[in-house]
Parts: sequence; structure tokens; C-alpha cells
Amino acid sequence: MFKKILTGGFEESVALLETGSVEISMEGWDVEALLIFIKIIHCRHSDIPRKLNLEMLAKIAVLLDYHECKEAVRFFSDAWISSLEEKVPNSTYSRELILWIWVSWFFRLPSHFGEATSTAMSWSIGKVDNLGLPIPGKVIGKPRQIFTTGKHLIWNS
Amino acid sequence: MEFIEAINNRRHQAVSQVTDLLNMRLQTPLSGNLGCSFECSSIMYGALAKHMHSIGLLPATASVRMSYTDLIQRVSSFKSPEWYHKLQVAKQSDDSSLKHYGYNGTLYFEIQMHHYCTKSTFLLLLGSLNTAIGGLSLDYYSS
Repeated sequence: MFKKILTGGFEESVALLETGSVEISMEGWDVEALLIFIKIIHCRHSDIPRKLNLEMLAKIAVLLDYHECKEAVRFFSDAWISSLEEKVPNSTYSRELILWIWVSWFFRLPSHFGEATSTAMSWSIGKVDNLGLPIPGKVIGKPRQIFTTGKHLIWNS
Repeated sequence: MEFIEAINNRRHQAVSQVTDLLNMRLQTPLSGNLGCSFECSSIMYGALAKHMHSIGLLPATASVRMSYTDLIQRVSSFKSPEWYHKLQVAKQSDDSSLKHYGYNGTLYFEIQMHHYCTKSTFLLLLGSLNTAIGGLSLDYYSS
């Protein structure tokens, strides 16, 4: 389960892209997503936040995708998406944009997907990169390897 | 097709369409089909070549290291050359006071005309270019 989260295109993997390797603490960064996910699958609906930011939504999407239980959150996903304060970037190619592509593809949001892919194509200087996001199947690039050393996971690209 | 691939392919195609158009326009004056005169086609050829070189599109085999949007903005801001050509204008006049200068009824003026033809501005030469690449349709990429 950690593999997909930890190989996602989040802050830690940005460092990986820059340095070629990154050390990811197993503590902290994904706890909130994990807690929300656990509450979802345990039907603790009253404890589930109705509002998430893009980053958190993307992380939860990774968890849902890995466990193939997108249907479990259909009730919440609409609210999450409509409450997002971030808008699809329309004039920058950024990490947020790739998160939007991932989220809009995963949650099936045609207009967001169209906007995000348009921005990516129009504003990317070179090839569009999936930033290592675990966009599955048709979307993902090459699989990456994870090595465990002691208490930490090291992702080697 | 994987859709990251589709994104990259569509981006590549859109950029290539613009660079192909520029290269085609650059080739046209060499065969004499562009511009209303020798001067016109020579000036347009030189200006286009300078612009393309300045943004790294010459030689034509150079890889494009800019976004599609950036490319369109740069191409759209290509400055069209401005030049003037002389034009002789004849005017009839019955001013008899000019007779002792050898005046025969017609005055000739030489004026400087700003050159303008449908091939002498890049806006007309290149046409309107799409400012962005249309996004993908989600329907094609199932979950």
C-alpha cells in the first residue's frame, strides 16, 4: 500500500526528480490521507472531512485507486471536488497541474480533464512528465523500485 | 494509447505544425512565388529567416525548447519589415504662371509609398494561429 503513496508525485517525489534519490520518512506526511481513507472504508462517515485541498484529494485518490474502491467515496468525491479552492492552472505548467490531471482523470471530471490536459500541452516546455504519479495503467510511465532500509523507505528512480 | 503519450504526441504535432508552416513560408520566396516583387520577397525572406533564427528555429532541424504558447506568442510578435518605395504621380494643372519653367500642363510628383501587399506582413503571411492546444476528451481514456 505504501508503494503507491510513496511513489506519488508529491513533495517527496519532487525532491527525487531533482536529486535522483530521496529518503521518505514513513511517519507523518501521509497520515492524514490514510486516516481519511480508513474512515471511509470503515464507514465513519461523520468523521470524514467535506473539504479537502488538491494535494490531499490526490493522495486519497492514490489510496482509493490502489485498493480499487473508488465507489466507496462517490458520495464524498463530488463535495470534495466542488469545495476545492484551487482552480485548474490555465497559464502555467506545474506540479499542481499534473495533480489536476490525475484527480480529474480518476474522479472522471471531463471539463477539468480537458482544461488540465490543454494547459499541459500548451504550456509544457518539453515532454509532459507524470512526475512519477501513480496514474495507473494507461496513464503511468515506467514502474519504479522501492528499497527498504531500516525505518525508512528509499525510492530509487 | 496511453494518455500521457497522447498529450505528448498532440503537443509535438501542434508545435510541428507551426514550425512546418514557418519553414514552408521560408522556402516559398526562394522559388519566387512569394511577394509582389523581387524586393518584396527578398525582404520578407530575410526578415523571416532572422526572426526564426532569433528564436532558435533555424536550422530547421533544431529541436524546439519552448512551450507551444511561448512559440505562438513569439511568432505572433514577429515584426514585419517596413519599407518605402518611390511612386511617380502625374497631375494635370492649368496654372499658367508655371509656363515659363517649360510647363506643359502636367506636374510630376515623386512620392514615398509605404510598401503594402498581402505578402508583406507576417500576420497575413502566417494566418491566425491557435493560441492553445485543445484538451483531451475524458471519454477516450477509461479508468
